[in-house]
Amino acid sequence: MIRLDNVTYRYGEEGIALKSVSLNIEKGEMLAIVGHNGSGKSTLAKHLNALLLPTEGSVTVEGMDTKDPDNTLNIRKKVGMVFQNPDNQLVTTIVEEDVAFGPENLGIPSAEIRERVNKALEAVGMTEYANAAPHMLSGGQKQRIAIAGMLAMKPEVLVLDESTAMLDPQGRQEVLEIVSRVNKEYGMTVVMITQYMEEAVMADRVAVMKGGELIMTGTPKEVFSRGEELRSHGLDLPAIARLRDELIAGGMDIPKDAITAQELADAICR
Amino acid sequence: MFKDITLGQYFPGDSVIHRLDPRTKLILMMAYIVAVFLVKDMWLFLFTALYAVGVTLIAGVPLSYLIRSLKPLKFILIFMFIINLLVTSTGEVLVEWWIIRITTGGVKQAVFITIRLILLVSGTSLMTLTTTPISLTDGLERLMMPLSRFRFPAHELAMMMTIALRFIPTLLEEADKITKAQTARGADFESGGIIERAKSMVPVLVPLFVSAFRRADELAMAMESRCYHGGEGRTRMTVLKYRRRDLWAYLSMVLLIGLTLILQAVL
Ligand SMILES: Nc1ncnc2c1ncn2[C@@H]1O[C@H](COP(=O)(O)OP(=O)(O)OP(=O)(O)O)[C@@H](O)[C@H]1O
Ligand SMILES: [Mg+2]
Repeated sequence: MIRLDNVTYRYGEEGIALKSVSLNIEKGEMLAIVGHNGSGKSTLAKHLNALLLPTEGSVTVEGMDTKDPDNTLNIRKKVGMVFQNPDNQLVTTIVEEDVAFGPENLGIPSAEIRERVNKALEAVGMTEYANAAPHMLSGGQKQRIAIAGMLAMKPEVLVLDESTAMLDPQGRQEVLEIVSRVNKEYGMTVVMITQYMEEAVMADRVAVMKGGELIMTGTPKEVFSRGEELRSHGLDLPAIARLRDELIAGGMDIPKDAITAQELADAICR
Repeated sequence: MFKDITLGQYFPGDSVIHRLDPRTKLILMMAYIVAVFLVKDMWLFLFTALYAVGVTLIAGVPLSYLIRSLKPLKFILIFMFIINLLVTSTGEVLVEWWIIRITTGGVKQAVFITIRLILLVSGTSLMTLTTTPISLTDGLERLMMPLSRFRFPAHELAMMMTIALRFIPTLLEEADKITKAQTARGADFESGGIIERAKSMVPVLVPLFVSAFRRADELAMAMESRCYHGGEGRTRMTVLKYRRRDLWAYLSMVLLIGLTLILQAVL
């Protein structure tokens, strides 16, 4: 779906933000990207829809090179992006108008836009707020509207750059549920950037970044069974994986790759 | 302190006037201004005034709202009244004292100008009272569209207005937060003269501006991600459409202007 080939990116002369990153994002998968502040996650995300172009190397979306300006619009049609601050991505003063903003830019006939907007609002459970003003909504609701705005464009990939970071636990839960539903039910490819290891557990694959480099990729089971290695990079494990390691250290017989509460409970009760 | 500022003065409602196409309302507002300026004899204001009152009644806007929109202009109104009272010197002299000379012509002129101003303000207020800012923006964009052939940035202006409308409440809220934070640190916004108070606003405005620029940057990126590439090839979800009621509205204005012109000529 999206292929990054030895992508290096520099902000200005020095300040290297990505160092020769190669990554293949498969159709229909849910990929989580984790890493510290300043590890280059956002920089990587912005390469996925041609907001940034690689200094060296190449990014291709279904064979389209992001460097070719003729591809830009088509790439952005395929790759939708939701950002961190819910306040700064809504454009108009009425919720449904905002959801319509993307499809309007694509030049879709008005009757179809109306249909898409209704469906998108329904998908994020915000139908009753169709005529509300965005600044009256909670952070989680705003973020759901931002996602609806993307769904209405019918992209194939949805990139979320720490879209839950500014939300309270409830808002975060709402957004995560929608994202995982979009991935499972619509088969949309999801790239989820997050600081919360707990969120990475629900992905199909986890990529770990540090200092602009991709240092680990694998299933959550693989990545989170390498606790020592992660810790040596200054990264934490999800709470369940920490508990698992404590229990193992305490002499219990538990599989080293258990990462859900259910798996732990099963192992303990065995 | 900032939160109380309301945007525009929309009076929510569902009257025929509210439902008129915003283009109709914009054009009628301009026509109304012309109608007011066409009046040369005071008593002909009767019709233009009745028109405004009629619209107010149909729209179900309380008269107090209309009067409130005149309040900020009370000094201008008083000023214009006095100036016209003093500089016109036709007709009989009513009062003469030192350099002041008030004549019947002056009184007439002053009243005439004041009525004209009140009607002008009421006419424009009636439009903003019955039209949401966003549909006003929409109407303006469509009306200015033909001008974009001459490189007039109609779409860009409308987009700017839309974004401004979207972010003013957000920025006001932020200004409020910053003010509170600075107050908590001992900043004083209440006392002192005008200059001191203005100075005390600096620690509020600087972070506000910095954040506004960051917001602008992020918004631009979000808009690009949503395939925004200017007005070209862009469609709209809600398409403005003239209806029968718009025709009636135009006819009523033709009647008003026609009546004014005919009576003006006959007399
Ligand atoms: N516009 C910019 N100009 C210069 N340097 C930048 C710019 N944006 C980011 N950087 C630098 O690039 C590096 C990677 O930044 P990036 O925003 O990609 O990190 P991140 O992993 O998204 O961090 P966070 O978790 O804080 O969002 C950082 O060292 C940062 O200082
Ligand atoms: Mg980031």
